[in-house]
Formats: sequence, structure tokens, C-alpha cells
Amino acid sequence: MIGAVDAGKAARALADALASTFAELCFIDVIPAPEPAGAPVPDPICAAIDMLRPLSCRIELECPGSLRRKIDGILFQGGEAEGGDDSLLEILNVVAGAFATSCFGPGADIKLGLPGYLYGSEEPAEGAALAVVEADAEGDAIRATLRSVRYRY
Amino acid sequence: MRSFGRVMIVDDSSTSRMIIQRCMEMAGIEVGVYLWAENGLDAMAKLRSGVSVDLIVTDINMPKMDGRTFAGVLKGEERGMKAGIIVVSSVADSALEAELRALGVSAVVKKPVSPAKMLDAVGGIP
Repeated sequence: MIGAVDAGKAARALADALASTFAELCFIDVIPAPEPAGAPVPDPICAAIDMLRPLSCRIELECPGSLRRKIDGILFQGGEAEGGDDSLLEILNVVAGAFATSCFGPGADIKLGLPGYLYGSEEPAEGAALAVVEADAEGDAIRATLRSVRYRY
Repeated sequence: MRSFGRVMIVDDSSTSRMIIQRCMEMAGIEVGVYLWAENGLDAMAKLRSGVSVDLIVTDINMPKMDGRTFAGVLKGEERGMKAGIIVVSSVADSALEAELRALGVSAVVKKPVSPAKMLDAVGGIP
């Protein structure tokens, strides 16, 4: 159990959130692997979002740079985002909302932080990995990790 | 078909702003001019400088001033309350929706937004 959430349920909710969000936002089919194999994500870009309530945790999303460029190509139809490259952050924000709603129910008091990119060793991973989902996104490997984090709030 | 002269989209994510605008376009909602703001504070500065809008579509989870606070500030501003308000959020529940409706919000849309969701939301604008 993770707090009030079963680890297996959390992994399934995370996998479902990834699949539905990628499909609905950028029309990319994401197929989760049955079990994580620990394979590295090539040329990874990592984004993270904190959940403050009801579970103190962080969701990290790793995807290759090639996939982010593909997502930008789909979303912006060859153009560029005005004001910055935050497509992966928005995807993660929606993934976190879908995950939280699935895990805790539509009436739960859910508080999410703001998503941000993690760069190199600037933000070392902290806390135990509670659930890991590896998936194929139409040829690109992606990984989502639900990590236990104790906040100061 | 619904039409609006000026629509302000308030979201710290440029990707989300673009997606919302595109969904409204795909839904056939006619808009004269789209204005963008990065958060509630930015939006309030624009509104208080004299910018008028017919519809505000705002995210909830934003830095500096979130959507809930923004809606509350708008409720106290005569200029803001002339505009319909739609809130988009990655997390939406009935308690949040009731709170937002009490602040004058016409509809709450759960992300990811879609043309159908936006069409349904603008249908609730008086």
C-alpha cells in the first residue's frame, strides 16, 4: 500500500493516464510494458510534477528528445510554441490529474504543484520509487515513475 | 453557433493556451480576437488597463495567481463580471465546481480539453 493507495492500482492508474493523455492530446499510441525492465530512455528529457494532496508524491516523466520534437510537430504543426517549450510539462500536468482522479476518486481533494523540467544532477531523484511504468510510444521508449516525497507543507 | 468578439485565454502553459484556442476553432466557435495571459495576475493587469473581453478561459493551477483566486478577484470587478468565465483544470471535482460557480464561473472543463468539451462549455455562457 502507498498511503491509502495500492501499489499495483497506482501503477495501473499511471499506465492508463499515460495512454489516455498521449492519445487525447497528441494522438500518439502509448503501450505500457507488462513489467518495467529498467531499460534506459535514450537522450532523455525529464519532467516532474509534485502532488501535495492527498498523497505526498512526485510523478516523473522521461522521454527521448526525439519524442518531444515529434509531439511539438503534432501540436504546433511545424511551428513553435509562443513563450517556451512546455509541451511535455502540459502533458505531465494532464497525466497527473488523470492519475490522481483515477487513484483517489473524482471527489477527492487533490492538490498538484506546477510541473517543471529536471536537468542533469540539478534535481537528484529523492524518495523511493513506488510505481514505475515503462511504455512504447510509437517506437520511442518512455518511463513514468511515481516517487514518494515528503514535503514541508 | 456561438460567437465572441474577444476571448482571453489564461494559462501559464503556452502549449495549453494553443490547445484551448485550437479546440475552440475546431469546434466552430467564432472569435474575433484571442488574447493570452500567463496567469491571473497578468490577466488582471490587462483587464485593469482597459482591455475588454467577452469570454475568459482560465486554467486553475498557475503561478502568481491561480484560477480560483482570479475568479474571486473578477467577481469583485465590474469589468470582469461582464465576461463569461470557463475554467479548465487537470483536476476537477464537484466541490471545486460548486465553489467556482459561486464565483461566477459558467463551466468547468477537465483537461485534456477537446472541441466537444469547449462547445459544451460555451453553451452554458449566458
